[in-house]
Parts: sequence; structure tokens; C-alpha cells
Amino acid sequence: MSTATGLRRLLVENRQVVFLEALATAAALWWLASAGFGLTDTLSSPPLVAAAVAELLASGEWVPHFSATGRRIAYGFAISTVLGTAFGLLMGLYGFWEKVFQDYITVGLAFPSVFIALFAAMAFGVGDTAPTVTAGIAPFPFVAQNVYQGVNNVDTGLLEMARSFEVSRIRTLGRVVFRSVLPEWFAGVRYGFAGAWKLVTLAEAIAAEQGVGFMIQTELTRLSMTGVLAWTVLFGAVIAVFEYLVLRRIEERVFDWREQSAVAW
Amino acid sequence: MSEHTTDETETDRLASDDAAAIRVEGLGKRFETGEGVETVFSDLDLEIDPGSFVVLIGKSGSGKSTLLDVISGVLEPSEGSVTFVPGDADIEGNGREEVEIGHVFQSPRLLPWDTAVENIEFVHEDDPDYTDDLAREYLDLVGLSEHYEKFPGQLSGGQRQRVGIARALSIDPEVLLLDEPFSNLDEITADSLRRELLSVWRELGKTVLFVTHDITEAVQLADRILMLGDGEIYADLEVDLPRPRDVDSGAFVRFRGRAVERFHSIDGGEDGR
Repeated sequence: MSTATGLRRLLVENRQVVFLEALATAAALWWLASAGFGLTDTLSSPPLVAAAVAELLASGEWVPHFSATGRRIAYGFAISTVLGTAFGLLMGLYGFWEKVFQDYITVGLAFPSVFIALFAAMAFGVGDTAPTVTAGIAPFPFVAQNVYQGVNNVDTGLLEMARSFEVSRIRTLGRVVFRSVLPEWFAGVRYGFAGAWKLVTLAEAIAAEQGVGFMIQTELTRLSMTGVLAWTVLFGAVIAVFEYLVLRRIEERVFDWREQSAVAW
Repeated sequence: MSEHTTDETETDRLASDDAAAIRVEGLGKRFETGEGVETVFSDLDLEIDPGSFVVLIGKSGSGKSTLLDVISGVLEPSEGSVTFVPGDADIEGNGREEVEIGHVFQSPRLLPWDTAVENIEFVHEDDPDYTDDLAREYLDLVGLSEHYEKFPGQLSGGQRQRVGIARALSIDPEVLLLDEPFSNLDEITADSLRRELLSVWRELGKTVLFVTHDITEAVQLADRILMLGDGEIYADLEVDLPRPRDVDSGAFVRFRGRAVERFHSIDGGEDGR
């Protein structure tokens, strides 16, 4: 392989390199637009935002706000995961509960999340509770629906096999049903997690005195585009790090068998 | 060919203390469908000797697999009973709960996210003596020594079916039920697995009830062939050919011809190779 071919492959095929290229291109276009058309007040600019981010990091101001947001996301995510998994399993395993909940879950899927944030703000006022409850409730129908679909797709042949070998229901639930549902569950949970990021910051903008959403709202009232973008960039970086260093790693480990099976054939 | 006069010498030699007789009395199975009640079979009586290799043959939809599922406990009978009697005892039969039954399915029904060893471990829930060495021992028995830690997706169809057989044997079953286990495999692999199954049966002496719609396979494997059709056992044939059986030998071909004739005696049809 020649050096030119190797370089071309690196620039075009390596996922991380392509990501950085796209990021650099977007920043360059942004810089050009703001400097070239004199729109620095409206669009800010990459150097200004980078300086603001550096200042935030150096001052440590970001720590309490990211801690508050992280705490609310963790609680909200836990609530939506537990509720969604429980409702999905109930609906998938028992026809009665499917009849009870399915219509509500369908409505929940279509319900605008911003309404839930507003209701939570009105019900719980300013503080930790409104963002946490919003992040807990809004994504849970997606988790429930995915788990329900996953249970419906469980291979009945595997269940018959377990029954034939007199494997207990609890072991069958853990080793057959839950493992079968895992891809759908994981997809639902990831969606729930993505929803939690968005909804916590949205609710913080409405009903909190601390957190990333609150700070973006504060910068907005100051009409500081640089401030808004600095918090947004920092927030986006944290999401990306979490996605690539935590979720992807977990997914790779949990679904290792699929990767190995795919390689074999 | 003789009508159910069991070869005592052969069966006794093979029967181990771990094999059980299967006693089916007045067994019936009905399913409720949208159009009413469908009776698969009714008032079925059957006695299978411990350590024997019995093949149940019938056309598609004759109820072979349903009978196997009722015997294994996957399905509840609509009427009648299935009991299991230990090979060395003259007692009332035990219920399903008292015996170990190994079931090999048409498709291997392996957990795709578990390795070969883990698939065997799955069915040893309450076995305090289970270790992974036991799983490896049975994988060795079916010729999978190199594949302990492979996932089903990394194995060929024949290898997956071997894991299914190893799983069934690993629980040291008194009865081994096999539901058309080789029908999805190519003929070379299927023939190789038939030989291995016979070898394992001769070594372990389990009671085997094997379902197929392939008459050649039935004659190749069985001590006794039961033909199921119209909800009843309409033929019960002892296969008195010496083992190992050569499918091209004159005796085999003649026996097979008579079995085919008998197979189609009920209503003709296209099944039964």
C-alpha cells in the first residue's frame, strides 16, 4: 500500500478522523461567516467561544452546574429505565396489562415533552424535582414500547426448550426473555438517555437555579451568544465523551456475541 | 419384519440403570382452534422398553411432535397419562417431575448469546454437582472439543445440533426425545450424526424416542418403528436387522420396502422417503 493510498484511507475511512474533519470544517465555516460578514455579535466566533470555554474550565464555574445537571439526569434516567422496563415487561408477558397500558403508552409516545416540563415546573416549582421528574417521565414510554416489542419477539422455541428442561421461570426470564429483549431494551434506554439530556436542560431553563440549562437561559437573558455557545459546546463535549467512552463500550461488551458470530460467517 | 416382539437380548444389553420405560395410557390431545376443537390423537396406549431405540414415524401433521411435546411435558395432555418406569424396577410409573428427559429439537434451540458450554450450563439449574468440566465432557462426546467457547452463530448447522445433543445428554436423562433432529441438515452431516447418535446410545444405553418422517432413517436407527396416523398408532414394527446397518444391503432394502408399503397403507400420500 503506497503512502498516498494510506493517507487517503486515513482521511476518508477512519471514523474519528472524519469526525474531526467535519468539526474543523464547521468551525471554519462558522468563523468565516462571523468574521467575513461582520456578524460576530450575532454568531460569536470560534476563538471567542473557545476562550469562554477555557475561562469556564479554569474558573471551575462549570463544576456545580454540571454536577446538578448530571445528578438530575442520573435520577431521571433511572426512573425512566425502571418504569419503562417494568411496564414493557408487564405488557409483553401479560395480555391484561397490555390492554390496560398500550393506549396510554401510544399517547405518551406522541405527547410533547415540553408540556411535561411545563407541568412539572408548575407542580414542583423551582428546584431539583421538576427537571428530574421531567427526565424520568417523558422518555419512559419509549423504553416501555421497546421492551414490549422485544418481549413479543422472544423466540418461543427457546421458551419451549427451557420448559422441556424444567428450567425455572425466574431463570428463563433472566437468561432467555431478558437477553432476547436486550437489543430493544438497550435501544430504548439509549433513547431515554438522550431524552434525559435534552429534557433536564429544558426543565432547568424553566424551573431551576442551577444547572447547564439554567446557565444557558441566564446567558440568553444577558444576550450573550458567546456565553450560550460556550455552555452548549461544553455540554455537547460531555455528551460525546459519555456516548463514546461509556455507552459504546457497554454496548460492545453486551453484544460481543453478535460481533463474533457475524465475523464467523 | 415382525409385529412388536421385542428382541430381549439386544434391549437388555443396552439398558442401563439410568434408562426408563415410557408408559402412555389413554393419552389424548386436543387443541381449540378458531373453527372448533381439533383432535390430534386420542386414547393412545404405548409402552416403550427401557434402553430401547424407538422411532416414531408419520406424515406431516400426524401429531408426532405433539406426542413428543406431551411426553416431555412441554404440552399438557387433554386426557390420559404418561409415566416413566425405571429400567430395574417393577413399580408404578413416576410422573414427569421424577425423571430427567433430554429433548433434542428440529432446530437446536440454543441461546445465541451463550457459548456452547454456557448453553449446557443453562439446563443444570439445580444440579449442585455441575461444573463446566461436565459440559466439556459431553461436548467431547459429540466431537466438539475445539468449540467449547464458541457461540452458536460461530458453529455450522451440524455442530449446533451436536451442542443440542450434548445438552440433552448432559442432564443424564432416563429418556432422550429427538424431534426430527437431522431434517435441516445436509445428508452427509445427517448421516455422520446418525452414526454418532447410535454410538452414544450404545455407550450410554438411554431410552430413545426419535421422531422422523424419513423411513430410511427410521430403519437405519430403530429397534422398533411406530407409525402414527389418523390419531392412532397404526403399525408397530420390530426392526430385527443386525447393527451396524448398511442401507445398501439387500436385507435393508427389502425391510425398507415393506416399511414403506406399510407406511402408505393407511391412506397413501407423498411423505415418507
